[in-house]
Amino acid sequence: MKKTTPVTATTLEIDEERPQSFKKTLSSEDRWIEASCLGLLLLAVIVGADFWRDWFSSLDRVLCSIFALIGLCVALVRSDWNGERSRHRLALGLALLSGATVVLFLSYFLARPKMSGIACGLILAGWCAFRVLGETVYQSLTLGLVFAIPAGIDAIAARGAFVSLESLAVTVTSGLADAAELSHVQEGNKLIFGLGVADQFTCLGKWDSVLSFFGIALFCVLVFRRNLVCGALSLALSAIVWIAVRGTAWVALAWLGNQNGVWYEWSAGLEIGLFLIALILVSSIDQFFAALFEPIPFEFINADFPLLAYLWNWMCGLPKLTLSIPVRDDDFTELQEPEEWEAVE
Amino acid sequence: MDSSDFSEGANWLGREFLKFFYSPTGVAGGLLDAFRGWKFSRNWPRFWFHLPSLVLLAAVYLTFAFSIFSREDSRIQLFSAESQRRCPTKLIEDICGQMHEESFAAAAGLPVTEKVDYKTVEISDVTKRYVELLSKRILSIQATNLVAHYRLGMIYNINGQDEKSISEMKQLAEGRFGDCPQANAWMAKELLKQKVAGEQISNQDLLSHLEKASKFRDVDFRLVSFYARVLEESGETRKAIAPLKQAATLRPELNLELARLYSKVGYLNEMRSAANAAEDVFMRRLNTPLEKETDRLAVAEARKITNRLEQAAEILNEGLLIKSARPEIRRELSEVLRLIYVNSIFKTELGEYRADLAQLEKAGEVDPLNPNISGEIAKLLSLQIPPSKKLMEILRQQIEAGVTSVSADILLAEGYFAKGKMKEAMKNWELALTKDPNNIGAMNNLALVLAKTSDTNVERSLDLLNKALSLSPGNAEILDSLGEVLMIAKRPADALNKYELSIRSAPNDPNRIETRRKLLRAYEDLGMEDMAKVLKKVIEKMEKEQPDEQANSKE
Repeated sequence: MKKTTPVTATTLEIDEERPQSFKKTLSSEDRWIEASCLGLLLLAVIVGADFWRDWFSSLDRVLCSIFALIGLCVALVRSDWNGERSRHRLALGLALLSGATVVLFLSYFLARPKMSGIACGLILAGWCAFRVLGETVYQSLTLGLVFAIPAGIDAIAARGAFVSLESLAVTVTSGLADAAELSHVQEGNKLIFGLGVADQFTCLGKWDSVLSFFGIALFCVLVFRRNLVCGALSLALSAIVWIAVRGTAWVALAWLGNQNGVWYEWSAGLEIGLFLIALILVSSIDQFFAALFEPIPFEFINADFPLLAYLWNWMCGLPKLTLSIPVRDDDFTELQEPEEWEAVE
Repeated sequence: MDSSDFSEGANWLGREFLKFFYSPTGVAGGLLDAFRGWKFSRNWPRFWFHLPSLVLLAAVYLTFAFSIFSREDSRIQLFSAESQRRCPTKLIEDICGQMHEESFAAAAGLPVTEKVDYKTVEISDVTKRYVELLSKRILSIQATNLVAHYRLGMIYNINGQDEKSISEMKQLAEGRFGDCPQANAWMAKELLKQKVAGEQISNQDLLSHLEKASKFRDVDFRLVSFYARVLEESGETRKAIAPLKQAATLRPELNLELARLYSKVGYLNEMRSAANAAEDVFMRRLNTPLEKETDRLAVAEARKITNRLEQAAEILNEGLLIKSARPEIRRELSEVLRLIYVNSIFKTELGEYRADLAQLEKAGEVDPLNPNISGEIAKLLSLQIPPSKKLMEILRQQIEAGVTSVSADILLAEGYFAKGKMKEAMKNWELALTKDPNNIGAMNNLALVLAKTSDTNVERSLDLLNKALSLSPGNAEILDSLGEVLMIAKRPADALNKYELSIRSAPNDPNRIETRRKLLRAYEDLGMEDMAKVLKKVIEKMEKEQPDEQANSKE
């Protein structure tokens, strides 16, 4: 039977011998790499200027980007930087950069600015592969690819995903209105009440608020270093919360309107209020699921049948954080403790 | 990774996987331990702290889930009840009725006895919107819901969305969602509205809608009586009786119309009982606060139908005694008196006509402007019976006021024509044509006289004849006149053609012998000797046969 590294209690010991990456001096090779990353990034931004201009035309998209950036900064600060060099990282970085170059060329020659957004993500993933050496490969990829998210979202939106999401939101709101005994009829992605029309469900245009909710989820994922399962769950939750919050708000407005005989229009203040509520709800539910998706300690894994427990741990296992963050250390040997106790006795 | 490491790992995975099958106890123990570990390593304060957020979210989605799992039929019932509570169907129907009332009255030419005063009802915009959205909601669950379609169609009508309302009602009237005679009634009224607006409508559609609508017990009774009238006008009087009889059970006033139909068909017993029933209804209201202006007229009508003219005159006289300024009753009384006069006409053994002219004079006194009186006077003149001074005075008054009947004008024109007073004759035909622009006889005669009096009138007379021909295509008389006028206009070739057409349209008509003679003259004028010879023989042959036919018909 293969022996696996036990995951046990935490330690806060600092390895004095290990050099910190911030203090690391750059070699000439490093400079070349960083310069080419920067050059490619500038090129990608210039080629995809149209796409970025379009992306930052909406308040919610800007908000989403800001949240993602803050989350990324926190994630980078909290990640475990290892200054030691490794050829593996260089190879991965070069592969990502050359891939990014190809995508950038395609973007230019096929006149598709959205693709340069993806190239942007690939370039940054390559840079992460070079620089964030203590991270695993998939983590550096994830960090970089956060920048490709706008292009991905735009591509998803162009394929009607947001319209479907909107229609789902309208259906849920209709059900809630039924439960509240508010007469209405659904016409396309609009709900018509007796006094007025509920039509501000849209995800695109002025209020593409699903993106600001998505930004909150992205922030949680990056800051709390969610693993694959928890991260996907949080992102999905943002859409679920968005539907619930918007539906409830519309039903509440319609109910109040019915009571007072006037129709309350959707307003910017309401939008901001809902965003704040979503901020609390999404991060709280994210924390709730994070409390459930934690790995099973090694000492509880039954040696006769460890497969499911290992599978669970693989799904929920946390990446290593900086030393300021409590982490279950592989090197800790709890099994030796009883011997020490015996010695004391 | 070493290849041996990999194979060792694969072996380990295989072994662990096989335990699912051969060691259920081991699996259960493993799961139990893992669950204990899971419970141990949870951050429970964090779990409980964040649980309310999840509960909130779950509450929203559970509410939604309960709403979508409620039964469709109960939802339909709920929405229908709410819709009815906000605005009952009868109220919407009344408003639609109001909207159709004007055009319906104009198109149906409603008799005064059938006018209904609708109370003006209105509903608020919010109510309209609720009715519309609830109907649409019901239709989104059950697309074939008849009541929802009907209410939606009516709301569209009230909102002025004509196209939408017509399309809804058309589907209902076709019976796509089941029988809906109310929709047929609506469609019939809508078609009549279009007719009034000058649009082309299909009479067949109108009749089929009326037929279906008349099968409904609560339909607007005036629509049924209108349907009966349409059937009567198209010669299907017997068919008209059934719907009217049904409507009369609900609305006894309709017995009057029914009696008229029975009298037309010749069912005398039924006619009498219907007329009596109608008379009862109207008579009961007379001289009470419930009396309407039209009740007395209806009683008189019922008596007129059953040929009790004196009694009809009596009830109308009584009405005039109560209040003399009642022009409708005055006109009706005048008519009744005229009928009494008409009934008094008889032919003596010597072949002379006798009549109670005093009744006609009385009719003229009651309503000097009754155009039918001038008609009667004209008939007298045409029979060479000199009317009294009073009657001549009435005729003069009517001519001055321009209210003479068309038939009177024509008879007068013919009288003047016989006496050779062409100008007077033409004036009267012109007068008849101003009152009835489509009178073919007047057009024909006027055209001929115009052409014969002056060459300058030929154009006008050709116009008149062409119009008459378009109204009655292939009419032999008009074609004959046209030929004659064309001969005057010195277009013998065209005239020839018209004469031939006239003869072809009625080859065996004895009047066409004269046309053939005219044709013969035209042939001779054009120098067509051979044709003239053949035609001459035909005319001789016809002239020989003619006396025999006349003798046969006499026998």
